[in-house]
Formats: sequence, C-alpha cells, structure tokens
Amino acid sequence: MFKKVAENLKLTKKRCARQEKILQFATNMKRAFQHLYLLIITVTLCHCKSESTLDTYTEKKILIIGNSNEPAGLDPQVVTGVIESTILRATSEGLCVEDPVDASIHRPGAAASWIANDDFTEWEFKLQRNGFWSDGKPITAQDFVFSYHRILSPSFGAKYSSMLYYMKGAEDYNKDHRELYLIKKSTQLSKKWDALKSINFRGDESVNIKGFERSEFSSLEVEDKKKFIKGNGLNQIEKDTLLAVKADPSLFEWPEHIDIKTRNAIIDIYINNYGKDLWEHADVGVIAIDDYTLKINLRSPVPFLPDLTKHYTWFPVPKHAVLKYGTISERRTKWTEPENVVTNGPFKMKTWKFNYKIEVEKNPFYWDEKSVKLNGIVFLPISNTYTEARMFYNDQLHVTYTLAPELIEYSNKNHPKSTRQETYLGTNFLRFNNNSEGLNDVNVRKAIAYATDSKSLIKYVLKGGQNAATGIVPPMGKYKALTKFGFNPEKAREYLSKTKYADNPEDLQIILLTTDKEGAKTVAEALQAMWLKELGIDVKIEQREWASYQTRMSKLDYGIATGGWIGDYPDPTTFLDMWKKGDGNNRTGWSSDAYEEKLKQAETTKDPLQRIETLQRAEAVFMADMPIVPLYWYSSNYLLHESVKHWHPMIMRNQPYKFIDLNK
Amino acid sequence: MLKTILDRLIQGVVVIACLLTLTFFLIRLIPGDPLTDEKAMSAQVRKQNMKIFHLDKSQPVQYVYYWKNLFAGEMGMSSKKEQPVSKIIRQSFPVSVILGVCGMLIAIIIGIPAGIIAALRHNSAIDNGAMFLAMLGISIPAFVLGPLFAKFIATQIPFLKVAGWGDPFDWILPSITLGLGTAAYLARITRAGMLDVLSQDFIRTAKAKGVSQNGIIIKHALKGGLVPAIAYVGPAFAMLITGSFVVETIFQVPGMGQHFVNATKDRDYFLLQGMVLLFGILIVMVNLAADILLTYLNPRLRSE
Repeated sequence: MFKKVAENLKLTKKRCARQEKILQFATNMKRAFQHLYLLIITVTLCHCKSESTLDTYTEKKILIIGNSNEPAGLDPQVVTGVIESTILRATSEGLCVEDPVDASIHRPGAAASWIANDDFTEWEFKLQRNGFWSDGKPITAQDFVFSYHRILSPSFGAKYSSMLYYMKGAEDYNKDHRELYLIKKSTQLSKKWDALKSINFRGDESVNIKGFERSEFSSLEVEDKKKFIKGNGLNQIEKDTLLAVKADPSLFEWPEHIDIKTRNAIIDIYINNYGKDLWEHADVGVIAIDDYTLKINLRSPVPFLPDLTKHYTWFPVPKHAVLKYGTISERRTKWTEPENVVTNGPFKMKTWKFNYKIEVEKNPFYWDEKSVKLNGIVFLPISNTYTEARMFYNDQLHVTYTLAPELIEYSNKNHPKSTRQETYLGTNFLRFNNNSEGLNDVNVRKAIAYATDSKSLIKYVLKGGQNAATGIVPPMGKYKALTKFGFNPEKAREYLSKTKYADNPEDLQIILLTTDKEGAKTVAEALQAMWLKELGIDVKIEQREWASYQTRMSKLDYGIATGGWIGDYPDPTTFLDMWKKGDGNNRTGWSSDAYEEKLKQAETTKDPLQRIETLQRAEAVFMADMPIVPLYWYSSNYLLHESVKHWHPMIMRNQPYKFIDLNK
Repeated sequence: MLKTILDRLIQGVVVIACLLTLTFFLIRLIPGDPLTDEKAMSAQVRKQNMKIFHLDKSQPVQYVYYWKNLFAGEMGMSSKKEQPVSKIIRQSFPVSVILGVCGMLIAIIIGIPAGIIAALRHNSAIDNGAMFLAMLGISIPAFVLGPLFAKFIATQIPFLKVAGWGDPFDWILPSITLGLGTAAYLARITRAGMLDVLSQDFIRTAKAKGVSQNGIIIKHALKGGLVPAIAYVGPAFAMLITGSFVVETIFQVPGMGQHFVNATKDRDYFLLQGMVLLFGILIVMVNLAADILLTYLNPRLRSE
C-alpha cells in the first residue's frame, strides 16, 4: 500500500516533472518568441536606420547638402541669392565652368571654346556640338540670345539685370531709354537728333513725385500732373498720360525751339510704340552667328568675361520651354515648376518639396555626362544653424551650409577632419553717413576708422577665423592694394585733434545702426567700447530688423551702419563699382569725381595688368576719403564629411558639382 | 442650436474681415516694402516690380483689388518666394496639421489624465509631483526642450533622427516638444476643473448612494470637470497648428509657422494676408467646435 502510494507519488512527480518540463519549454519558447519579436523589431528598425544614414547615400552617390533656406524660385533670371545659386549651378551651366582647383582656369561649359579680340571687347563662343537640354533638344546660340533678351527686357523686371550691362546696348535697352530707338533713329522727324536731345525723355530726378507716385494720373491737380510728367519723362509715362500730353501740350515742358508739328509727331511715335518691345532696334551686343556660334560685343574691355558667364544671370534658359508656358517678358510662368523645368546642367530636377527638400538627379543629356560622378544631390533648406550642425553630427548631411561660430571650437575638437574654415570673397564694413553732421568731416571719419580694432573684434567677438580687412577689395588674383589700412589709436587721436571735436568728443552725436541678427548687438557694443576708449566718442546703438535697417540705410537715416558685400565675380570691380554716385548700393552719400575717373579709365584699359593697377589707384582714392571702415574679410565655416571627394576650397564657394565624388 | 451656429459663423466672417483689413494696413505702416533688398535695384526695375506685384497703386485701390481677388479665390503671389500664396499654404498646411494633431494628442493623453489623477489624489505626493512637472513643462520653452530631445534622445534611439521630416517616426520628437507645454497647461486646468466639480454636492450625493469611485469619476465628475479644459483645447489647437515656428526650425519641419514669422520679416504682404486669413478661419472654427462640444457636455449652456 505504502509502496503503491510511493509509486503513485513518484509517477505524479514524474508527471509533474514532465508537465513542468513542457511548461518550461513553452515558457522558453514564449520567451524565445518574445526575443525573436524584439530581434525582428530591432533588425527592422536598424534596417530603417541604415537606409536613412549617410552611408547608403554615399554608396548611391547622392550628395546631401544643407542649403540654409527655401529658394525664391529657380528661374536664373529672376532670383538674386546665394541659396538659389547653389542649386542652379547643379541644374544649369553657363558658357564657362569653374575649375575645381585653380580659379584662374576656365573650363568649357555650354561653350566648347572661345576667343576674344585683342582688347577683349568682342568674344566668340563656339557652343558644344553635343550640348542638349534635359529634354533632349539641342542647345543653340539662339537660346542664349533669347535668354539675354529675356533678362534684359524692361517689362520682365529682372532684379539682377545689371550683371549684363557689360554687353553693348544692354543698359539702354534694360532701362528702356526708348528715345534712342524711337527718336534718334527715326526717319519720320524733320529735325535732327541734336536738336531733339534736350527733350525730357528720361525724367528729372530732382522733381519729387513721391507723394502721388501711386495715384491715378487723371485724378491729379494740373500742377501735380506737370510735376508727374516732368519727374517721369516721356519714356516712363503711361499711354493715357501720353494722350493727355498730346491733348494739352502745356502739361509737358517742351523745349522752346521744338515746333508743334514735331511735338505731335514725337508724341504719336511714343503712342504708337507704347508697350512695344524694342529689342530689334536696340542692337544689344549678343548675336547668334549660326546655331553653334555666339558672338558677344561688349561696351568696354572685359577680360574677365569668362568669370561673368559662370554667374547664373548669364546662364541660358530654354527658349522652347519658356515660350511654351508664356511670353518672353512674363515672369512666374509655369516653366520653372518641377515637372516642367528644362535645364542644361549636369543635373536635372527630380523632386521639389516646398521647404522640405529639392532633389536633382544626373542629367542623361548633359554633354559631359561621363565625367559626372554623382548620381544626384539633395538640397535641404535648414535655416537653423544648430539644427544643421546636429544633423551633420548625426550623419544626416554631407555638407553644411555654415557653422555657427560657437560651434567651431567644439567641432575642431570632436570632428577635426570635417571642420572647414576658408576665405570667402566678401568684405564686412561700416558705412559712414557722409552727409551727417560731424561725419561729413574726413578727419572725424578717419579718427573713428583708425580707432577700430578689427583684429580684436575677430579674436574676441566673432571668433570665425575672419581676416582683418586692410581695404574694401579682398585679396584676389593679381590685385594688390596700394594702401594698407589698420588699427592705429595714435593716428586716430591725431585725426580727431584736427577736428572741432578735439576737446569735446562727446559732442559727436552718432547713431550706430545695426540689424537684429544674431551677434549683431555684441559687435556693435564692442565697436562702441573701442571708440569710447580710444576717442571718447560715445555712439548710440540702434538695432532694427532687416527691412527697417535697409530702409533707413537707403534713406541715409543713420550715422554709422554695419554692412557687408559679397563679390559676384572674382574681379575688384564687384567691390568698387557700387561706390559710384547714385548707385543704389552706395548708401553713404559719398561720391568722388576722381574715383569715378579712375574707374572709367580702368574700364577702357585693354591691358589686364594695367587695368588692375588703375583699379588699385581707384581704391587708394576711396580709402583716402574713408567713406567706410573696412572691418574684415569674410571666412566661410562649414562641415564637410570625409566621404566627399574633390571638394576644394573656393573663395566664392561655387563648387562645380560635376567633379565631386563620394567614397567611403 | 442651428441658429447659434449660424450666428457664430457670421460673427466669424466679420472678425476675419476686420483682421484682414487691420493686417493689410498695419503691415504697410512698417518701414520697407516687399522689394526692400540688400542689393539695390535700378529705379526702372523697381517700378516694373511694383507693377508686377500690384503695389504701384494707392493703398485704397490695392485694398479693393485685394478683396476682389479674394472673392475670386485668388490669394495673390508671395513676393519673396514668387509662388502663389495658395500653393504655399497647400504645401505647408498638411504638415502643420499633422504636427498640430500629434502635438494635441500628446497634450491630451498626458495632460488630462495627469490633471484627473492629481485632482483625485489632492494634496498628495502624486498631486504635487504632477503639478511640479506641469510647472516645469510650462516654464521650459520649446527652444530648450527641442535641442535637448534631439541631443539626448534622437541620437540614442535608432529610428529617430535629430531633424527632418521623412517618415512618421520623424513626427515623434517635434510633436512631443510641441505638445508638452500644452499638456502641462491642460493638466493644471483639468485639475482645477475636477477639484471644483469633486467638491460639489451632487458628487457627495452620488457617493452616499453608493456609486463606485470609477462611476463617480466617469459618469459624473468628468463631464463637468473637463469643461474648462475643452474651452482651452480649441484655441490651443489653432495655436499649435500655426504657431510652431520654433519647433519647425529646430526639427526642420516644413510647416506653416515659419511663413507666419518670415512673411512679416520679409514684408511679404500677400503671404502674410493668406496666413492671417487661414489663422482667422482656424480660430473661428475650433472655437465653434469647442463651444458645440461644451453645450453637449454642459446642459446648463443649452437653454441659454
């Protein structure tokens, strides 16, 4: 009995053990499944992760670039900014292309070869025989003529058209100086041009028409009507105004010696041609000799024309595609929509997701397709520089647009191979309002200029590896500034002692105008402290947001203002031309006949070296008057992944993408 | 009920019209205009561009022109991006809605239960802890929270990115950053509302009648206790959709908030006008929705 019980117990135990085993197995299996489940999730996630990381893109040869902001469109003839340029240089190509290493070499782009005459005023470009648009249509010289016609067309209103003013007749056509075509060349008029020249065609700038600029002409008082017409000139008034002038000649100040008949004839010519495109009469210096030969005539010697053609304003647009969606002078037609756009560069548009990304892919029709190494580029509009840096550190980007100064030290320490610091073709400076009380005295300006310690500013405030500027033109090519400006407190005090503020510098009431951008205030405060310490001049800082700051500067409503200029092309004139009288970018109220004389002289000089020397003298004239204080020459700080090959430092950061490669 | 809704809608239209008119004239009072640029343009080019953007006429004429266009369904052209305003809104609005909805969900999922629990455990450690966290959530701005999340969470978890807007995983961190502030606020409001209701007589009656704790909360307390929270959720939702500028730049989200800020900065008159219009409509709609919900929850409102 006992034995039986014991056996039973054993059996139960056994059974239990078996059951336990089964149970254990089940639990184990369950656990295993759980683990497997986790494993699967992990693997999937890792898979997801690995697909989105940089390595995959590197393998696919797709470059991911941080590009600061959403571009304002991709019509090369409409846009004006750097962020548009970084994309346009991938999708489009000018006549010449940058060399990735040597900036003085021009590589063939849309043009296979080119020659200039002795004085660099006539250029002949032979286009690539196998040059095609991204839709397969051939690129012809007519496309270029069409493009330059379009960007210069007065009713198109291209903001950057002045980049083409080097071409003969371009400026007159773009500024719609109609009298040159309608009246000067007219055969209907009995009088000679010399007698007609004195008519107010282009408007009188001294007449203030601001008050009723936007009013309906017919609603104005007679006196205002007269003012309005005088201020605008015949070229710029509307048809109804022309008709009014015809009906009542007293509204317009006709020169005495012009008789009624001629007056009426002139007005009739203007009415008949109202709104007409006068391109045919304008003789602008761009000619298609045949399908593959483009001739460009310039108004003066321009040895750096190949450099200009690398700027997007000189890029061609496809005549057939543009005209498909609108007329030549219409802006914002649908031809630049991602699904319609046709380009001629190494890459073509693939996707454009607004504010998210722009993707371009290799253009199979590109003439030099075999030397393009990348399969595509992705441009991300990352406006927050810290976000951009985080994305780079987290392997989401190959190249950043910039690197915040605060992050340079961190990057140098943790990512030394990726952190790049290069010179950038631009000058940061302070504008003096040369018309304002006190600052109209050159000695006051010089005192303040020499009391400005830009080296300390760079070292302690900016910390971005900039170079202290010794002039307005940054170092480039063979250009060597004749004078070297720099911090010199003794000299500063000496200049101040020559002024009426020698004993009472605190009488100088100066407003230092700056922006609300990051760091702007710190820079302004540093400058304020320098001038107070060295000269005893206490300036008042006023920060304004961007548009207000620009407006006040244009109105000369400031004392000293921070500012900067980035070169459009590697030639000193890009930094010197803006200081001419009446130039919209001058904004200092300063002008000098001697300076403009030198610039003019340089413009007509055939010999490139001599031309550079003349420009150096022009800068010396400029610096002797000190209408601005040069602060520093820009540097560009950014992060570049090690897998990006053939990416060389370039002073305009205009990397030709076709030479760039990706390799682990 | 229908009359109320109709009344509110008409009110809404008037409010939006006033809003648009005010914006129209105020933005034109600020120095600068859409063509103010670092690089100056010649007088001719400037004039031509003024014409292109219909800015060459006097302000009253422009104003009439704006309304005419609006009635024709045309919101104008963004002067900065040279794109139709309607297109910009079409592209960025869905993103903002996703972000706003996820943010709101997170706010509700965290905020309301936290508020309820805090109210139920009034003056306990849980209550104090929850309220402390809520205070923290309100006090820490998104521009601090966002980078911290990106730095310490996104880099640790394989499927999260520090920034970008590709797959739904990318919605997580921005939504949390966006929603936490609202969650904190919501928790405080819910707690206050619940405390108020829980101290009422009918709750005590229910307790005396032997209704279970859960029954009291779900059937009796919540209905009244959530009223302030729901009144807050409406406008907060509109704010989350349009006011996510900071979160958008931190996490690189292609939403609408940035247009709101940039349009003012760039003097992009028509884009700003479009944004204001959209924001106005949103506010009116969500407020209306919140009101309808409140009438449903609170019988006392129905008779009025």
